[in-house]
Amino acid sequence: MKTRPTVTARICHPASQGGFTLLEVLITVAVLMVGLLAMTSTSVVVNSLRRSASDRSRAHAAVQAISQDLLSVARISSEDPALWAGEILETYGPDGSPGNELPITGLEPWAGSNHIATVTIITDETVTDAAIGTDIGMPRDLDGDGLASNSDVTGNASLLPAIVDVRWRHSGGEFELRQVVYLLRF
Amino acid sequence: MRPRPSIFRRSDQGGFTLIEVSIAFSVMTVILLATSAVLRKETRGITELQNMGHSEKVMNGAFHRILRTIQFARGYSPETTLVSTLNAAESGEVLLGKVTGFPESGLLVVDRGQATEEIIRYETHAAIGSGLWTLERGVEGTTARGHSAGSSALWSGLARPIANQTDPAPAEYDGRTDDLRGDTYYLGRGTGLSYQVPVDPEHTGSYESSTGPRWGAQVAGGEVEGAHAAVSFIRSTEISETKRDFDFNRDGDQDDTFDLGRIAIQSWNNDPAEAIRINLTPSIILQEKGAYGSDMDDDGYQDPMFLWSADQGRLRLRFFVLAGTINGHEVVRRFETIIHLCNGSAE
Repeated sequence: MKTRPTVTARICHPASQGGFTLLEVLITVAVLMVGLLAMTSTSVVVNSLRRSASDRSRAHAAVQAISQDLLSVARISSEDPALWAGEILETYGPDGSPGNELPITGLEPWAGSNHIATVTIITDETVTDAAIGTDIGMPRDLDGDGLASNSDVTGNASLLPAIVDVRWRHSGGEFELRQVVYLLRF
Repeated sequence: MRPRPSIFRRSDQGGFTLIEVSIAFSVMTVILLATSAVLRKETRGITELQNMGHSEKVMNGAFHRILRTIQFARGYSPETTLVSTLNAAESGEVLLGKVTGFPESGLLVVDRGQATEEIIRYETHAAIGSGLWTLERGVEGTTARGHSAGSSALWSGLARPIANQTDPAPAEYDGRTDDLRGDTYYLGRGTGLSYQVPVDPEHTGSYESSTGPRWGAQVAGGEVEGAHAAVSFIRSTEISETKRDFDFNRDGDQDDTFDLGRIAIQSWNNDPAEAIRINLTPSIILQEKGAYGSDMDDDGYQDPMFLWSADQGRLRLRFFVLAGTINGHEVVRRFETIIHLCNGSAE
């Protein structure tokens, strides 16, 4: 009587039979796949690292450049207390030129945003660090009257904290660098 | 008679035949070669990554050192006039109204923007006095000409924004550059900035005299009041797009030639022996030969390395760096920052 081969008999073979079994082929293919995937992923990681390091360097340079430029703007602005802060805002305020949102060549913005760098100049003495999201010692006196109660010191500021934020993304995710610059009126 | 050995096996025999072993070896060899090629590529990728990282570290370090060196400096805008007639054949000395702020060696532009414009290379001068010495006349594509007393003379390395930034006539500016604060028309080639820093030669602990800060520079003999310094591009060698088979400035051709050089700080005094030079970068900075400050990334804007806004104490630095290779292709990276000189300008 002819017997039906068992499953064991189909995936393994007795020593006397030639050829490869399904199990041998599967194991070989699996080992090869693992090796190939490992090599491919190394390549992806190297490329990602290359881009990541480059982007971080650009972002760092952008933060430094904007911070230094803020100091330069503060220097040339009027020494008149009534005008000083206003002239800074004419450059880096929301309605200024170039304004408080800046593109940075070579970096991709966060999803839903069309700019990379943001400059936030604090003119409200009463705002808190928690509200700003940065530890800069707010609320604090910005107009030299000994109080931290003025909600708009634009007309008489002697100190302005400015927050420079650079946000960019690449395949590894979204990243942010933040620096605080204190602008002093002389 | 003995049976002839076969390369095939009979179904009742165990072991591997020669064909099976040969096939197995062939497959193994292909896999090993492929693995080796991939590993070589990965190793090259990691090396390239390290080289790029090194270039970035070098440039960030250079920016930091420039900032640390000149943040308390006051910048100069070396512009003056000839005090006497200059003959076309003169190669010894040109006398200026003042040489203050002119780097120890460099390029002088006489009669800029006029038909008689000439660029003169000079080799040395004293920090105090009125003469630039050892001249090479008619360089950078210009012709040696005679110039009358009163002709304008300026250091070609200085690039500064012009006053009229609203549609100036072409003769009013040398280039237009993209800047953080918007497009800026400027004059000059932007190869450097000369400056002085507060000095304390006697180590008294004070950088001030009865008349104000003592301005000078660090030269070979120590800090010297009245000495000068400049941070500038120093050419080292020449490379061509044709030889490197690469379009460095992305202008669509491979027929441009570039100067490869470094950024260095030079300081000098009346005694030439006291002049010193400190290199801030290796020779990795690119500038188009004969067209310093030209567009280096084909974005339609000129790219002066140094742009000095004297009234704001603002110095913009922009360098195009030969940063390494990726997958065998050269990489030119743009590095840029702004430095605020808190003591502003000397004039």
